[in-house]
Amino acid sequence: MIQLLDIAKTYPNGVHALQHINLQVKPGEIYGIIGKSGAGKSTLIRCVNLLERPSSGKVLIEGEDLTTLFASQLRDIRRKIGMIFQQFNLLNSASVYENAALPLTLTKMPKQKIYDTVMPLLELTGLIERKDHYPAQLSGGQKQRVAIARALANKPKILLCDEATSALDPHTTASILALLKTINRQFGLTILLITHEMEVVKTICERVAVLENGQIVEKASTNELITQPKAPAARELVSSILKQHLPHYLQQKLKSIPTKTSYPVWRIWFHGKASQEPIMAHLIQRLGLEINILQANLEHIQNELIGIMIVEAIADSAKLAAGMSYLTSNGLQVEVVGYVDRIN
Amino acid sequence: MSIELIEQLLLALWETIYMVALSSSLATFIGAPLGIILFTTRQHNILAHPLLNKALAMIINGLRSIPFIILLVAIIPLTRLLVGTSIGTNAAIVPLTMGAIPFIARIVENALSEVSQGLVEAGLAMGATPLQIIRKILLPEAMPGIVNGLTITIISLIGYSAMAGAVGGGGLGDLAIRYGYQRFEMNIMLVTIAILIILVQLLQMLGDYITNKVSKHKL
Repeated sequence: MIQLLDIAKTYPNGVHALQHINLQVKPGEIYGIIGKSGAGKSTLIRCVNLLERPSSGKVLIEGEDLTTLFASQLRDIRRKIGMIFQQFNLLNSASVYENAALPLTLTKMPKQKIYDTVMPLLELTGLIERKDHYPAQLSGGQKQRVAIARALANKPKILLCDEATSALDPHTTASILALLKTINRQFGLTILLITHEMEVVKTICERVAVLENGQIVEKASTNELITQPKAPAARELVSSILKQHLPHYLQQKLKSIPTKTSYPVWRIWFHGKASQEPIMAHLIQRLGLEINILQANLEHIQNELIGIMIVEAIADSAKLAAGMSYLTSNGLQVEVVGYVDRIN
Repeated sequence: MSIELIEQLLLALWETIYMVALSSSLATFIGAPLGIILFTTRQHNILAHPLLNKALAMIINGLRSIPFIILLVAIIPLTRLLVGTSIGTNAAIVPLTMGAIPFIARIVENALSEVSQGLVEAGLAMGATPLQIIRKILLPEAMPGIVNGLTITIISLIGYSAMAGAVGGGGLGDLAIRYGYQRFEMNIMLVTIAILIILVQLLQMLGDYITNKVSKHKL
């Protein structure tokens, strides 16, 4: 659906905003690009509809290279690509209805047909009762809903979301993300979004690319990224939603070398598949380990249980080895964080 | 006050309104598009054309730097060419218009630059042509600022129109100078001043009313 081939963007002052960007977004999927501010996310998403013209590389939308098109052809393609923004970008001088209808009034569509197209969208976004209000009378979440209705007015195949929830509070963010998910399902809309919030990716993205210093440092499914982040930037982002480190006072007790009186502390990663099994019960009852849970952080991500559990495993070395191999054979990833002395 | 004087006053009031109304309409007609061009040809804007932008800005700044009383005399040849004479009310309209054009151009440019660039970007993203962006996005959004600026310009034009007496343009200012200053008739001076104050107040009120009408977002 969207294909970016070796995109680079260098500004006249010599700053390399983007380098070697290769990306492929499949029809109907929600694809996330995550990165810190200044990573080049905004530039990247603007390259998709050529608001920002890449210095080199190709932008293919349904196989058509946008960089070779004339201005009028490009405008036709842009009508089929909706876009929403962090700052909403609504006309203050126009009502909710007029804002949502704007893309259609540019196309000389008859008034009645515009009405028939816009009203269902206001219904969908829950704005029917506010259709005659002006943006200044709306909350941030409502403004973004107007922007979404406007973006859908031309019945686009693609929706670009430029930090669409970054100006919103967590509760409103959740409702906007739910709306995006709904329109993704209902219209089979392909969504490409950029964000700096792992929470957004976790909630609706199927696949994700991590952008750092203008380059993609990692591409993965959301589950893979969260359970097995490889690039340092990806690890940092993931740690923002999963607490993988012990609190300070427990960390101080950790020793890197075992002694005769100490037991290991394990960090166990749940990857989704094994999460339905009664893993802990098995460890304790069948294998005879004493398990002391120090910290657990489990989340449902795209219908799978994913997370980290940090436990103290108390048993003799034979049992510990059996426990360890039981966990790994069940597809869990176990890592020894350190050792804690049992004698206080 | 004699009937004759009242007739003179009414005629002068009419001349002032006639000169200001006609010159501000003409100046808006020419100045507003210039303002739009000034804004949209800026670097990175929708019709970016730095050379045209610079040239236009220079001409406009040049016009603005000429004091009105000098402009009045300096463009007499142009006035003669356009209205056939260099004296009278119609002749005064030419310099008044010329003086107001650069003001209006800058006011429109300024009002447009207050519109968030994000809106222009949104327009581009939905496939709008530059002309559509100007008509459907920039102008409606900038309208309160433009109306506000036009009110200021029209009020300044009333002031300038007093100087138009120098070319026999007539009007209230001219009357005040001839009777009040040159013949020491203080009462006429005071009456014209009172009329001018009321006229300006009414204009400002009308301007504020329209500004409010077009700025729906301040509801």
